[in-house]
Amino acid sequence: MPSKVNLIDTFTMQLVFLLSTAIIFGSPSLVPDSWLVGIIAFFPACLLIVLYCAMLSSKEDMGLYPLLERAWGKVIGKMFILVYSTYFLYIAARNIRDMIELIMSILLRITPVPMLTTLFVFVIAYCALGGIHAIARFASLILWIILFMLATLAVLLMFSSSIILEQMLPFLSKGLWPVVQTAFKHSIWFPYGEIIVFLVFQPQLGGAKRMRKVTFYAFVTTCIILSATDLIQVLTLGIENKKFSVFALLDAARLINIANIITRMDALIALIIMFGTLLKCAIFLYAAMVGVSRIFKKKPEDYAFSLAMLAGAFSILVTRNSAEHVTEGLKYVIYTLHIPLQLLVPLLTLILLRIRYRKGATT
Amino acid sequence: MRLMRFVCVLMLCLSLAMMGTGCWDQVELNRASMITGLALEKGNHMKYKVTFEIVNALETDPNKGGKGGTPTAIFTKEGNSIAEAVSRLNESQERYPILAHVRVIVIDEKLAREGINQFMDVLQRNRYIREDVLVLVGKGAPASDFLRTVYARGQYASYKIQTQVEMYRKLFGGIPRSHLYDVAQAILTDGRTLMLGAITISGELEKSESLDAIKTIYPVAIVKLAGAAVFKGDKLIGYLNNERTRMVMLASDYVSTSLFSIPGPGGKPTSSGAVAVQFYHMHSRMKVKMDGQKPSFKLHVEGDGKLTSVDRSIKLTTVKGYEELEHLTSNYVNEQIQETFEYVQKELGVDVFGFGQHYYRYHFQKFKPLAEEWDSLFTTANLEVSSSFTVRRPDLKTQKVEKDGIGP
Repeated sequence: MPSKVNLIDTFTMQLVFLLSTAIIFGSPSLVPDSWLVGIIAFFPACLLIVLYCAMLSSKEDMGLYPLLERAWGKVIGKMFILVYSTYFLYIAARNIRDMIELIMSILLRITPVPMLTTLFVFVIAYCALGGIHAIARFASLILWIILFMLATLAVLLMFSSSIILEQMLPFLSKGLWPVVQTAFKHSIWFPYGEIIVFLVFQPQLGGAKRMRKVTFYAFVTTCIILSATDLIQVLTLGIENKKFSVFALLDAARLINIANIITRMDALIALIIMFGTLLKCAIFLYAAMVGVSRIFKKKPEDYAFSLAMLAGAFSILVTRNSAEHVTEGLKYVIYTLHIPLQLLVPLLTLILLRIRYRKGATT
Repeated sequence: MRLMRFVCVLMLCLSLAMMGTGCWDQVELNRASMITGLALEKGNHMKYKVTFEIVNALETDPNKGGKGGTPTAIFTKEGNSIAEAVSRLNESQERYPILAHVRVIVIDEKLAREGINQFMDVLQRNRYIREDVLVLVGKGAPASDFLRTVYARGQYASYKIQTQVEMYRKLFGGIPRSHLYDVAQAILTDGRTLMLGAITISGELEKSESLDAIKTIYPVAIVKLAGAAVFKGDKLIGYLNNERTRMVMLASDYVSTSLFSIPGPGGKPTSSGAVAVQFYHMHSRMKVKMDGQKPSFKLHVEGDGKLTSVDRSIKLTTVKGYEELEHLTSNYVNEQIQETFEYVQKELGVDVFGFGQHYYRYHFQKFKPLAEEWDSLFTTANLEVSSSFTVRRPDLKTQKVEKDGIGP
């Protein structure tokens, strides 16, 4: 029985995980009232918790990979483990790319991308080597940084009188339906659905009972913080202007100007995304490591650097330009990866588990 | 073990080298030059002519002072896009151009009449140009001339213009807030008209380019603020003078501090007995509704402040005196706003006040069918102005100092 991660650490880890990249990109600006999307997406997202917890509790909190093997049998189960490991690795690669896009746009414009990525994935690999306990403790540090930066941002924007309440109007100019649609198409799967990666670590995190509570609180907090940042973006940039921004929060931060002394606070944003991505990728990488090691029968630590390098290479090779990256993220990944792997496979697994292991029945 | 150690040390050294990758795009300060002002004009041979004001940092040092050189150097480049002109700047000068400290972008009148949105993108997209850079329209003189006026304080022209505009806007309000960011906002928002600050030059420019110009006690040429340049879409259509600009900005709630000088009795602006009141916290609220085919606007302005000067005998020891002052101010402001409104309706025919924007934000469904014809509807609209000003205190004297009968 592995030792369990502290309850609060679990919460902060999940919170930072959910916030990290979503905070920069926010809800996609497909509809004017994008801040509403996050709030609407929260409710169906809670159903995912119910699904995952049901899956866990049906077989004494085993974690995702053993559950897959139990439900689908040795061969198909192993295939699914491989699929999930690749999926986690792919999301990690996408997140690295997100961060690299921002860094390349605002901080290091000439430094070659492979150089940056290599350095960054080394840090991620080192982080993942510590295992879930170290990552969880690291998360509470990052959470304070992120919250502090965000609070600073909001206060500074307020003092430079950039927050204009009128700019969130007209409210629901295209009606409620597109907002609901966007919520179901995007925001449930990213960031909320990605919580599925924590199923891998459930033996250490405390199983269904704990997850039900902790993850719910993490979802609520995420929903509040994300909606607040979305709202800050709308209130500062204006509902018309926001959709032209590549990094809306960054553009909002650029408006900070207090008496011509405190200006150019973009660095805050870069810090938020760097730390957030670091943690998120470490979690995904660790999950992928666990999955691969389960199949190839070695210690997870043996795969840290090689998988990290693979994620780094993926992040560069996966798309040619940022438009391709964004379209892929908003369209194809959701239908071909997120929905099947976050909803359909867990659902089928749950059904199979319920059929194969009825209450009291033994195999 | 020794090998392991060697590898570790090697890795550490390598990682140090890797840290250096962040310095890939570093530029030494003495290899870089700061561009502080841009002036955009129509080119002679190519599409645009861009004039750069590049600061000579040694000469603008306030502590040591310069060696008597000019604070700035002006370079002009032509290009078919603004970006091209910028990237060709090194044809004329040796250093790495840094755009991060641009303070003022002056657009030539002729270029502005053709539309400014054709070239704004490069300024909005650039990560280094700040969102609160001033975008101004040069009225009555080529845009590059504004960067050529030297000023007695030894500072560069664009710094002077920026501070001047911001200070004037803060204290009097006679110029619109024309940050780069406002351009995007105004063009994107329905029912809002783009207004940029207008500047003009008075004096003899030819003499002003030399440093001898600041050795006289009066400036040979000086950049003056000339109210607002009004755009239709993104094309310049006309100007509003400072006084009218102030009223427009007051109506759209951008002015919070200003001074009103109410002419004395006699009906003429020059008649004696003027009253000046200074207001600090002014706000305005608008209401828009459709009266059949005609929109009708209601505007309410409120503010509180103090008396600055009174050239007629109004006793400020009684409440009545204050009421009279407030009444005078109210009437004056109402009249001025009304006059400005009618002037704008007749001469410009665009909704500079932002009534349309208000209607768009608060009554989107009703605004939607009218959006296309809003400006023509605006010219038929009528405005009802009301205001409530509160004069709080008289400063140090209770009334105008004048002898009132015999004895103390």
